[in-house]
Amino acid sequence: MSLQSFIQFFVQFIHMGGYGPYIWTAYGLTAGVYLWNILSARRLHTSAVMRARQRLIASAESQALERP
Amino acid sequence: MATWVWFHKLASPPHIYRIAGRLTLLFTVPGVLALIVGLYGGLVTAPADYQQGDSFRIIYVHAPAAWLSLLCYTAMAIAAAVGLVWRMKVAHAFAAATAPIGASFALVCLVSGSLWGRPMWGTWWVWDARLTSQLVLFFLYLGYMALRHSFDDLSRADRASGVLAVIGLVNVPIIHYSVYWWSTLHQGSTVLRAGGPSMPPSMLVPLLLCFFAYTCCYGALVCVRLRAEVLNRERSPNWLSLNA
Amino acid sequence: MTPRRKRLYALIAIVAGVAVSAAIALKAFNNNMLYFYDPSQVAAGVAPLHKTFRVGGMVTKGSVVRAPGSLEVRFVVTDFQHSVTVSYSGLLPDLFREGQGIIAHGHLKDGMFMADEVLAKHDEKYMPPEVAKSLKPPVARPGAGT
Repeated sequence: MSLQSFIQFFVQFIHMGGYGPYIWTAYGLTAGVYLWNILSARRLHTSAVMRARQRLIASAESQALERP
Repeated sequence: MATWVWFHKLASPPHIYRIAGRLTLLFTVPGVLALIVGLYGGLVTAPADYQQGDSFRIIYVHAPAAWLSLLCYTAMAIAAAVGLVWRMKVAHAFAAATAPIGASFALVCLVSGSLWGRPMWGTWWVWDARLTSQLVLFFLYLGYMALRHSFDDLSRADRASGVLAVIGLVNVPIIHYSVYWWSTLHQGSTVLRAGGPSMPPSMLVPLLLCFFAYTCCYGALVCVRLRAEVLNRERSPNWLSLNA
Repeated sequence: MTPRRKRLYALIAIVAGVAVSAAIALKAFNNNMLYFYDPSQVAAGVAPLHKTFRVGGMVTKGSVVRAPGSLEVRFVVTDFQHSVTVSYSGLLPDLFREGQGIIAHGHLKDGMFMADEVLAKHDEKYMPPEVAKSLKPPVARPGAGT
């Protein structure tokens, strides 16, 4: 495929028969929601692990203090 | 009884935490692969529709999002019911982990549908039975999450929001059958339809791949969120390995 | 009865109660739930006479008449039993064409339906243009006449 025909194909692909703005907005939104889902789920898990560790350390310290 | 061992094992936080961790990767790999192939198929290899031209390609993000929003709600309501009846914390944790995912895909369904409706139907939005019941689903998710937020006590939040989730389950069949029970602007189902899918394989295969991909991605996402929910409910998770 | 069983029955009762009341409510509002009337219902007088409503059906082939130099268009909508003539002035959706299902919003005036909005309805069938052409060769290409 020559460069020119590739560019032509690409322009047509983006244009989507005139429906480009609708299609790419819909796909872009979907990509954004996927990204949000991934990031927020990971952030939730990381912060849960951190807080759980803090609780563990705190309980270990208080147990150490109680010991005579 | 031996047959119930797996059920009681599911209720054990360290067990579920470990299983969810392993399942995450198991869901992610096929999910991402199918999503790439499916969307490529929908955007590039599938032919344009004889009536709608290229605009019908929105179906590849729209219909699986609709499916996932219904699947998530059903899973959430069943988990909430199990949590309410058997007082199973892990079930409530699963329901709570599912809600934001379901809500986000209900939103994708509504907005992508609107972006499809504008050029084809000639309107962004109509108040027909299908669109309205799907909007109600989105608000049910929001209501469920808001209700959880309004309680400081987790077990009370679980119970109150669980009842709401179970009640809202009534809306799920209404959404699916709305296009058959009432006259609507929205068309009938293409895939889950009496007489088989009304699409040639060149269009259908990428769509089925997208359905599969969305479902796998939900599996992976809910596993990560479930681990967080389970951890948050443990006062001292001694089983948590500190270097994990 | 164990407490667990009690909770199970209570939950089933709640869901059954909500389902039954939803079914009754939807049944009662059935007319409002209908997004549009078809021309037979208009002919039978079911559709409201003095209010605006929606009529839906197929655009009869060869019935589309455009007033030259304006956006005004007239066409016949049919459900193959009865038909209604629609008059509309404005932009039509991309899918509007003869033989296409449409839904028009407006009111009846002297037997003519004066529309202020025309929406296109499509079915759940999708196929490539070549397949559609080979299925029904005598039909004019969509949009060819417009």
